[in-house]
Amino acid sequence: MYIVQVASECAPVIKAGGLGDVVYGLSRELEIRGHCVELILPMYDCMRYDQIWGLHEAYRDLWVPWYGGAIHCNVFCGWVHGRLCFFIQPN
Amino acid sequence: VFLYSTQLGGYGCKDDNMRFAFFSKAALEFLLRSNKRPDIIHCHDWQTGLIPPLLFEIYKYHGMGNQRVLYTIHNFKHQGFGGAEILWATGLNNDPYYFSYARLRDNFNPFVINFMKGGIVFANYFNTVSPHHAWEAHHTDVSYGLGHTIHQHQHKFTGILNGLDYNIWNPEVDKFIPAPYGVDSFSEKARNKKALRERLWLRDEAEKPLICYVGRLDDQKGVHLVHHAMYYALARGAQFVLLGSATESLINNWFWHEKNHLNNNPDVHIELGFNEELSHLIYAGADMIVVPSNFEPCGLTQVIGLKYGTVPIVRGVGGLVNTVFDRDYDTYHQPEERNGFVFFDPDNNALESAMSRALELWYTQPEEFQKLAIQGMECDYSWNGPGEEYVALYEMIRHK
Repeated sequence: MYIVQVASECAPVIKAGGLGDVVYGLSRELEIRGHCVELILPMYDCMRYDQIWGLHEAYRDLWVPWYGGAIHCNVFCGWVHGRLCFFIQPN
Repeated sequence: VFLYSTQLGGYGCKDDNMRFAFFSKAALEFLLRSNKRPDIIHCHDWQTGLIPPLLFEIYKYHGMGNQRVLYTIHNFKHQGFGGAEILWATGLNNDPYYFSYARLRDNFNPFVINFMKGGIVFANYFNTVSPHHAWEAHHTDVSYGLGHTIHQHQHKFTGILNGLDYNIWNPEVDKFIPAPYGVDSFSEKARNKKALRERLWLRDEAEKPLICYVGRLDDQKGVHLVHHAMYYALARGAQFVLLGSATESLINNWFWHEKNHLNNNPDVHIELGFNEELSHLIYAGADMIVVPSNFEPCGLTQVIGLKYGTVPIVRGVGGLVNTVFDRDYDTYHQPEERNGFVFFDPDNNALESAMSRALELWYTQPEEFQKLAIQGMECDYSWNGPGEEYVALYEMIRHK
């Protein structure tokens, strides 16, 4: 199965409570079981960037419809202890 | 430019709700534009509550008709609210439709939309993080006003316990403790207790049990009972170690006062703040851990305690009910499956009754106490079981 997790936290890059641990732990377990897992997270300024491996631009110029107009975003991509994560950064 | 920025992991901004509404929209837009078509979109908590409505009211018609959503609620306390501007911004352009009681309108404020309710109503399935908390959310007040919505959607509601990462939390391989140990080398745990006492300047007396509390200090965690547990432990001749951080200044001041007050007491240590490394040593060194929560969707500390052979004394709420089984009174598990002590009323007497049973056992039947601790270590609360349950759930909604 191909599963996308959308969450506001993922340990250890961005963690406020238990949610981050669950998102990471579940994703890891699902991959061990042979499923394809990707995560979508917001790009925070206070993330643990040292815990993201190979951060790079993955989708340039994503225009997200908003109030009848659109907001310009970039999407970055990197691995957090083996999990493939996409970080959405609005401009 | 960072839209998502605060010190505390992305929360606490006044317009957080609008920001996460945008994040939900952007996540779906990204999937659409990059031609990703997952079988399952699994979203979590209020921040992503608008994903199910957006998927099934908008993105379904743009080529994402085969995607299915699981919505997991980790905490009902924060649900995410907004006015009509959320609808206008995200493109859910039909105010009367979305402000209907059957959809996004908050159950108690007719002028507000509720993100979490939207997630519940539109998701293919939704769950919370333990079976007993699922029951509580449906039948008691811990779902903060969403009880009726859950009732209406109970056919697609379940509870799945969180797993614990045994790569990090495992006394056999833990890098933060001086003496690794397991079920077969349980006596090594005593060396960690000694190390913990040395580190925190507690007196090293063989016949004193060590009780700990690790976690946030706030109303959810039953802070008044934590406080009482500390003094009750001291009164019964035990030692107490508290590692916690308070989010409210009143509680913070209260515990700083206690810390100063008990500064010269050789049987208690209060550490305020967050210290991952010390927490490992506390779990390894303590004999018992108290978890007297007011409500607890799943709870992690009691499960860590079990793995480290630290006998949990917990209040029977939420996930605590599904993980800790009372040694003396549990009616669903055989004596050899039981692993701790449970009390139910949120008051000092109930806490004392459970703590005194635990202390009594430690003082008078140490080999029985050790047996109980080892039974706790043998419980499996890894991701293995929950992983299987989530996969089964994905498979089920995928073919709906």
